[in-house]
Amino acid sequence: MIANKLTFFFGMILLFLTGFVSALGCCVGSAQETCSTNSEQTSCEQYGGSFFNNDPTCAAQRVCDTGCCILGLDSARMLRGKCQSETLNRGFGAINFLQTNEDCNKYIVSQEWGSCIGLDSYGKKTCKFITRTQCAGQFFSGVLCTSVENSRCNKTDNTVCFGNSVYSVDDCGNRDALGVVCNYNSGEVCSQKYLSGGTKAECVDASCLDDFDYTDFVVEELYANVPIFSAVTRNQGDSWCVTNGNVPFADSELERDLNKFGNTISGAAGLKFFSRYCVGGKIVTEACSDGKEGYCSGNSTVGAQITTGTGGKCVGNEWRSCLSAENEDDCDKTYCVWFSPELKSNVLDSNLLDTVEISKCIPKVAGGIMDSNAANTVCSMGDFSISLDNKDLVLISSPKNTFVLFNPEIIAILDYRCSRIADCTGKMSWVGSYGRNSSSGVEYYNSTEILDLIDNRAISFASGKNSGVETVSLLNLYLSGTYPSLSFLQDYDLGNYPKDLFPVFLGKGEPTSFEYKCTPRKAPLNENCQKCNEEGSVCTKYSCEAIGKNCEFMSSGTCESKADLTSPNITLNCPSSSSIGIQQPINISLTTSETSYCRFNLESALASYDVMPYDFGNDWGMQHKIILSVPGSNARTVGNATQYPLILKAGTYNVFVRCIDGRSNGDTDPAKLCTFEVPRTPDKNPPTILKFSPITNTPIIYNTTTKKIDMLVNEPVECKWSLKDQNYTLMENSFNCSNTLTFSNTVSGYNCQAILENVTKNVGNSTKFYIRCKDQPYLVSQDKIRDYLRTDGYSESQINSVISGTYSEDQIIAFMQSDGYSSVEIADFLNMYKNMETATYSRNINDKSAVYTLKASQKLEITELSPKNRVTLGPNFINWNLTVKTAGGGYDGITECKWSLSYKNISTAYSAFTATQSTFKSQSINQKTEGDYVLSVVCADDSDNTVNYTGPLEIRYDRISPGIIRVYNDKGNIKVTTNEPAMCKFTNLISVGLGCAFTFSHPNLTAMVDSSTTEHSSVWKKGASYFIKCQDFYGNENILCGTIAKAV
Amino acid sequence: MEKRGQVTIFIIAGILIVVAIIFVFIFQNELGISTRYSANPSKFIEDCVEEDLKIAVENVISTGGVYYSGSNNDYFMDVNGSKIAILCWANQSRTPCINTHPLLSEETRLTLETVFTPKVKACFNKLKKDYPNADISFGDLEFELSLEKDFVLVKLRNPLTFTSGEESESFSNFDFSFSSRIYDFLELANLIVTTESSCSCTSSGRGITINVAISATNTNPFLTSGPNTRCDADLAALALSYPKYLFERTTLPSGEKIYTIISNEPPAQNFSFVVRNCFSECNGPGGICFHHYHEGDIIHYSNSLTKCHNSVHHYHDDSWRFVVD
Repeated sequence: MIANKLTFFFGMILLFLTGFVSALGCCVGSAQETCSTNSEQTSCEQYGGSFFNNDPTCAAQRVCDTGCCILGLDSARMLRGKCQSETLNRGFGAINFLQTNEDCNKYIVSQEWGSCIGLDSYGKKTCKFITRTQCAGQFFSGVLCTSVENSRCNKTDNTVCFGNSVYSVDDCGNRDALGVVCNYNSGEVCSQKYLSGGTKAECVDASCLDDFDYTDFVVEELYANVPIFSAVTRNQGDSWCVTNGNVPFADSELERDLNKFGNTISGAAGLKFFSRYCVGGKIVTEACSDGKEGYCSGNSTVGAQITTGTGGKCVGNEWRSCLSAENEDDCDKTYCVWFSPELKSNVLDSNLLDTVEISKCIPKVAGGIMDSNAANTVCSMGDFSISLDNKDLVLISSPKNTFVLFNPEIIAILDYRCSRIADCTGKMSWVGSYGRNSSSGVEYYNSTEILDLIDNRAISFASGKNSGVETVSLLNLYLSGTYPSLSFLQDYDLGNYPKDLFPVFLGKGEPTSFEYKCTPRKAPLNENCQKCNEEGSVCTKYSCEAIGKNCEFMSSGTCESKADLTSPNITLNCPSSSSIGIQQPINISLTTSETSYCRFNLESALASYDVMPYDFGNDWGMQHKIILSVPGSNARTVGNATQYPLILKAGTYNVFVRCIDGRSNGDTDPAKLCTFEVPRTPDKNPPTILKFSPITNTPIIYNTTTKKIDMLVNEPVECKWSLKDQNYTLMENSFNCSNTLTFSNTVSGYNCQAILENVTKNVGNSTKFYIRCKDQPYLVSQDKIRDYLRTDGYSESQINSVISGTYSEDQIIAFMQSDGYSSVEIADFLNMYKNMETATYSRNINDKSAVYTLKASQKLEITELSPKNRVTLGPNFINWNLTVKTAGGGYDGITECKWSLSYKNISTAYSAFTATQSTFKSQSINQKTEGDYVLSVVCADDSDNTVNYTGPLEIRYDRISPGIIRVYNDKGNIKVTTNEPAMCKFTNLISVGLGCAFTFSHPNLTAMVDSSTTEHSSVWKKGASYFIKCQDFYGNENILCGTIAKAV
Repeated sequence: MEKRGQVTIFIIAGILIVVAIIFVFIFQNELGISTRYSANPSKFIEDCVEEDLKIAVENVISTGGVYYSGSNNDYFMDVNGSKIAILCWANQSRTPCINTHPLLSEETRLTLETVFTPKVKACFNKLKKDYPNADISFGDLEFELSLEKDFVLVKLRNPLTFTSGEESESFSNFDFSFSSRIYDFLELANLIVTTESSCSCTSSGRGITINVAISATNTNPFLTSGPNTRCDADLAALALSYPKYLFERTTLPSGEKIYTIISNEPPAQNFSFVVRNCFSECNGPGGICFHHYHEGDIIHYSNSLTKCHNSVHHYHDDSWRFVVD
């Protein structure tokens, strides 16, 4: 023990000395996920940390900010640096970091999920399971819509994925109860399928089948020249790089050799990089920054063979920084390579080698030139020139011309360097003379042709003033020893070079220098711009314009030819009227001849595409589809189709369609028309009220007299209510009926809503309301048609003939046409006519009232709440329960309650008590750390009566054992008094625990009788020793004996 | 007679089956029947490494996040017979403590790697010994530990060829993981230490009523505010933010604070470490103290220092209880 203390003492001295001499600062871990304040440099750097002197609180280190990191659906408090890593690791885009505690807490609270009771656009009560932030109505945290009484949301067999778990889904489309949690760590993810009857979710293997057609793309594996591969399974979390296929790989020995300076990707214009991820069984494509400002970097490097991509991710490309580096030290190896090829003596004559400087810092991935003004400057970094004063090149003169043979390898090197700078391409020229080719003065000849020259063969000159055929006898020149040896030509395996060409100057005089100009690449004149719009790619301005000069990137995100003035051809696939059943959805599809976007309108073509209200499908493409259905849902996307609930009644439907391409061709073209007939069916049944919400006999909110109610009716209706039971026409008050259904009514029915008034306030009494409805509100009365025709001057006999059906539709149309009606007016009238009330097609009215009752509530109260103010924990009380009892309200105190604890500006989200729909609830609370908290409890019943409690709550630990303050003989009993409520035990035997080293639970102890919580007694045995130990309510017991008393 | 015949038939059939089994067993090679050995080197290595590694990780948790080797005893404190790591230490009174293990998580990870590399190698050698009839060859060992949330990931790579008879199998990946709370404990310890050490205690020494001056942006939600806090981490704030854990602190008379993080979820596990920060020398009569006077339960202090007032024969203990000298 002494040794330990000495060690500790000296250790502290060591710490003192160390601390005394060292400057303190901020220590940031190598991954920037950890920050430690007031740290020493040595202990920081020992484990790879970065030390920041004079910043002991890390206040200046942004990565050390503490805040709330938002990771998709999750949020957690962490450092900014850690948040950055987590964001990247989980494949999210930009970091979402909330720094202030207030923002963080607000966010966490706002992310609570629960039932949101509100009204839809038709004023109908809805329940949505959403976050608190999203909720504009009444919010019930943690409560499912299917648990909310009268929510009209019922459980279904459908399941959906949320997070990585399978949830059931209710018929309102809400996430419902949790089913299975897919185990991410064991490679399971939740996968959701759309079936005809709904959705089905299940845990599946997280790997992805990568069967994308890469024909026009380049995958990371291709860095090793692996050809287009077949389908492959990618593991969860795998990521790999893909480009759009323009990477010119090192396909010559020379280029591969040059790649030894660092694998580089050349300036292929239009090159796009993508990172593809396997996440949750699905492959996600992320486009890296356009214009090669970003590229995809994997574990592999160009030229290396890899089998699985695990690190492909988009990174920024600081290619410009490479071009300004003047030496190798300044060349940032993160983005650049120092290119310094060794020029062999046979590349240039040895006399020239010393004068040539070809080394350069070049980007690993050549930049893309987006700004044409800067293009010339950027590319000029790849320029090169050498003086030919020494004439050490191969010069061959003939009577008319001078030939200069130039070794191809220097050209290949310059080409390589130029292409690695940006979207540049090289061009050489001879200076000081003029050549036959006025643009460059350079002719290329392949090795055979040069050998032909050497062999004294004739070459032709096709044009220019030196045109004609000339025979050059090189052999004679060589034999005379005038010119240097051409033997180096024999050292080359000329056939191995991609450019099996030798630059040859051919012209008058002798050139003074050779120049290589690196200039911006020019896009081809006329190319197929649609290549940019291919599936799987992401078309950008840069990649579009790089395809061809004729291509233009449109605001629609597509690449179009400037010369394209042609509208997309539309092939409309319209259903035949005979194939359409009653109440059945109608599928209409169309195909366009090019990438297009389409819209439609019913009944009129309108003036142009722009003013058409409905999207035909939901994306640019060539295949488009819509589904027209009876009301049952809001417009929504079903697979690649868009569904609209636009079939409201029987009759003829005209669907007018226009499509535009990226250049808006087709905007004002004549609309394509799809016409079909929805059959009419007679209805002889009065409407039926299916359901009230809230149900009848419901109590309303305490001390109020009105209640907004909803009811569902089996068909479109008009409804009225009254406090008296009377005929429909006499009823004074109307319901507001939405005869366009929403999703939740698909199964249930049409919704009507009204505010019922004059409900009694007297508890125990109720108020009755009488309700009747009239169906088919869309039917047009014969009187209305008569009025219409009369206004237009038709005779009564003609009107009667129309009404009675004497005239066929064709005859009516002929009449109206002859009377000068427009086609639209005729169509409108026919629509009315087809929905005319007749004996067969008449409106039905309830002949009996539905009775609906509302009653008063009592005041809802929390009658018991425990603990209030303080919770004391101890060795035997390590858990505590929060209990709440409610009374009153509309349901005799049956409520649902939730609770929250807050401390300073930190609050927990409200948690629901597990006991629901009861008057008494008890919940085990996990919070046990001592502190002064604020407890909030909110309870609500199904009548929307609410009551809440907010009060302080101290959580404390009792760690003090009871003290024995008095021992005495009380009428023949030994009596012990404790300073707090306790139980006491004793032994007379010293052998039980020498020195009182026994526990309160020792089996051989005698329990004392409690005359009160603080008074404990037993029989007085004269001469006996009492080794007494006491334990308080919280389990604190005397460590040794509370006292040792001897009875004398 | 019929019954006896049946019994005889059964006996003969039984004998034939036994003989057939023995025949197949003896002549399995000749019959071309392979009895593939059931060696599972991955399982063997995992079993061999995991048990000791788990114990080592648990030991690190029990000593406050720092691997106790004996030679580094100076950085531990004896608390109730256990070694508890000192993660932050102030040499002088009323000064912020120095973070003694700034990269605790990385330090622990690397230390465990270093300590366990020989053990892992020994496990591969043991594999050879336990399979004497097999020809086992392996290459260069790559051993890396990763402390992850809720588990420890052991990355073990060693190209290994296991040859038995004519059969040969290759293995290279021996990765495995086991659950542990060490990541959370180390992160929370770092959070508490950072909270303590980033707090300026120039005005928070014992006995002054002005608020603690929190450094920088004053946004650390885990720092106890108010007078006399001695830059304590705010346990209630931590508890609400990290509901899986219970936080306790015991302050010794000598000024050391023992923080304990307890998991709320089974299996219960404690993680304790020591911090000495912003302590006062006024731990009893005669020590340095601020001038103060009493007004009922309220104590008023001035900024000037004085001897602890023997004149009135009292001092205030760590819980600010009045103690008669």
